[in-house]
Amino acid sequence: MKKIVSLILFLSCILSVTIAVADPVKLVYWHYFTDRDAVLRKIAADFEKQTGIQVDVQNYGPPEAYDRRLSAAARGKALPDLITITLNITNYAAYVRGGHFLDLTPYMDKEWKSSIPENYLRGFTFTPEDMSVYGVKKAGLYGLPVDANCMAIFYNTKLFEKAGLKTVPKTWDEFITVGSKLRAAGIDPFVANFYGQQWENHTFWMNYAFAYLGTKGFTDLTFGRVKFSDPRVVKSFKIFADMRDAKMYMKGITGGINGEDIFPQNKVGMFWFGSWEIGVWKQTAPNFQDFDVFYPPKPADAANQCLLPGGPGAAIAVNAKGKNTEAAVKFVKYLTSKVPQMMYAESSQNIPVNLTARKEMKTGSKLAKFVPWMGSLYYGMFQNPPMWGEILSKVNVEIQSIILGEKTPEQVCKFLDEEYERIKKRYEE
Amino acid sequence: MLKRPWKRREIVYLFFVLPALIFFGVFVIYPFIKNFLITFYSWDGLNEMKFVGLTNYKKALFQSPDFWKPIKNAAFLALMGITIQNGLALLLAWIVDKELKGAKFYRVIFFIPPMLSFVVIAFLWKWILEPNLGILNIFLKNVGLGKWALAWLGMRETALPTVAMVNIWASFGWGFVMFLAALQGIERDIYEAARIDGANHFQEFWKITFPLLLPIITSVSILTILGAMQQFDLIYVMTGGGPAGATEVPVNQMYMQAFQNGMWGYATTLGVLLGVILFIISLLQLQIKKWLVDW
Repeated sequence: MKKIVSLILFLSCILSVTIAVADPVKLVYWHYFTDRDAVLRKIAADFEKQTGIQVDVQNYGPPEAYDRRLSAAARGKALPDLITITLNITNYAAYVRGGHFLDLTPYMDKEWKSSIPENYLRGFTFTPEDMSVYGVKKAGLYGLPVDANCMAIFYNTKLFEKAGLKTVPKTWDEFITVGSKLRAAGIDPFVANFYGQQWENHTFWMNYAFAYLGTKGFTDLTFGRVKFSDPRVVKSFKIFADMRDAKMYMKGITGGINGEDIFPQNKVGMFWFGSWEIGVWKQTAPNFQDFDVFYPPKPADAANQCLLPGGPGAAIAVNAKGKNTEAAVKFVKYLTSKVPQMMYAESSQNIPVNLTARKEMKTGSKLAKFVPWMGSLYYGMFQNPPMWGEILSKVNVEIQSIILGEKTPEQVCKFLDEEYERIKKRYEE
Repeated sequence: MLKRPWKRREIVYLFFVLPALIFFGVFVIYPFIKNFLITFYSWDGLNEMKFVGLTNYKKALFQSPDFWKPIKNAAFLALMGITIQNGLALLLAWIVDKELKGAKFYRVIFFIPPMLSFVVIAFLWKWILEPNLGILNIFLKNVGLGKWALAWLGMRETALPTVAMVNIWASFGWGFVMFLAALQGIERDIYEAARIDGANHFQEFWKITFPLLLPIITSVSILTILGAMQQFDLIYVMTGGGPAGATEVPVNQMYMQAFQNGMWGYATTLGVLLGVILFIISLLQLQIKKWLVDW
């Protein structure tokens, strides 16, 4: 009897080991990109064909809901193998501090490293200097971008033609003139999501803050070494007053009108937004083709060109506490390699992060127009102090005050200096 | 000897209510206590909490204008709710109670908005109020009132009142149903007796209906204040707190502090302070009700 029991136990062990060996590795990948879900699934299927590793791509958009799900999963130690990172330094640092994200540095061979722009890698790296600022215990690269993006001013080619405009503005004065001509032709000149806490408010301002201050000056502003009441910063806010005085804003611009919906309806001449919108319109307004983009024009008295906010778009991290970290890293490497990146770019109309894939983009396409500007980007995730996010939320509100004519740029800057000191004191405590 | 079976029965009863007690404890009492405890910590929502004592309360009450301005906006919503929303709900309930033709139809119609999610309502009204393509402004232009075709949500003067109006539209149905139920519970004989004594409609309302409705008016008012002061989704979708912070409300602030700035301790402190304010208001209202009924 004993022998029979032993034999049964032995056979059960063998069987379970066999099942375990035969069971393919299965990764779970969470993201929030409704527009990119299909292509991510296709890439995952191709990856499985090549490696036998299954990747279950799960969409939990929109981003706000995704964020809540992710933090709950982290607290409950139930994070998936592959995690889409929302690009917010406070959140990113919190996950790294908690040891949730795997340090990818040891896996980044020379070839992989050189395929992604260096400043993007810096954007996800905690250097030893960053560690004390963000409370991170170990320096390293804890995430990688999957695509890239860039802001610009979109313009409606048909409406420009209707207003007799043949070229796009190259200087700030020309920009204001274009606005006046559009208005004179009965066309609303400009729309942007300049309401609530929309990031479009401060990103448009940042172009001009860079133009007047330069990158170093801007970084100094974020760290409080340059004051908001500095005349150059005041000038960077004055652009909103210039546009208001030239009657460029679409009616109700501060009241929640959605440029993404209105611009493709041929109702407005110009729209401040990001490169990814081309992919969104492909789905929401597939017949809308009468648009192009131009670089934000520089004011004559600014020392520098505008510097576009942008850089890495969607990003991915590997769960450090996952069971299949090696396989997960393998997928990240595949996802950022040339062929999947080209497929991703083609399908989602986002700029690939892989440099070889970027070189092979179809020239003449609307998306390709952004590529030369990718060198003039400011990606400020690590260049700013942790309190900067809160300052920007104040900037958003103050920009609206200028647009509404409630405050002058000087008053706004004075107020922002006071707020900066108050928030700084709070953070220091 | 007599007490023993009663005690046993009590234990059996306890077993019956135990699942509900556990459920209530886990999902209401525990989060409530936990939430209160978090206010004494600095927490990023993920990692270890750091004890900071009363710092979060000090920040909220004395070092930050972010708390009182949204409270003022929410108080405006509550005031509009108590006066216009409840007034409208009471008036409509009173009319429908007068055996109006098609009363059942109105009862259903008035209760449709409260059945919709605030997010749906917010999108619906955002489209209606859209300054350039919205049907309200198109209508105003077509009937020769073009100068009234305003950027309703884009101007400081109009944004908060407009949101308040949408909130009223979305919420008055609750009050309507509760008032109607209370009106239908009043004995008709009392009105008949009053009429025989020569009372007119106004006197009937003021001397009979209103005093008998006082308990329900208090309850509806408390619910209106609680609802208005905790409004979030409507404002988040319609204005995002803008223009220039004109429609910021306390829950909006909490959301921003927790989810954008990662300051969960501070955000929960704002929540607790709002809770205390609402508790005091509710107590005051109950006291006023008691005073009115005694009077």
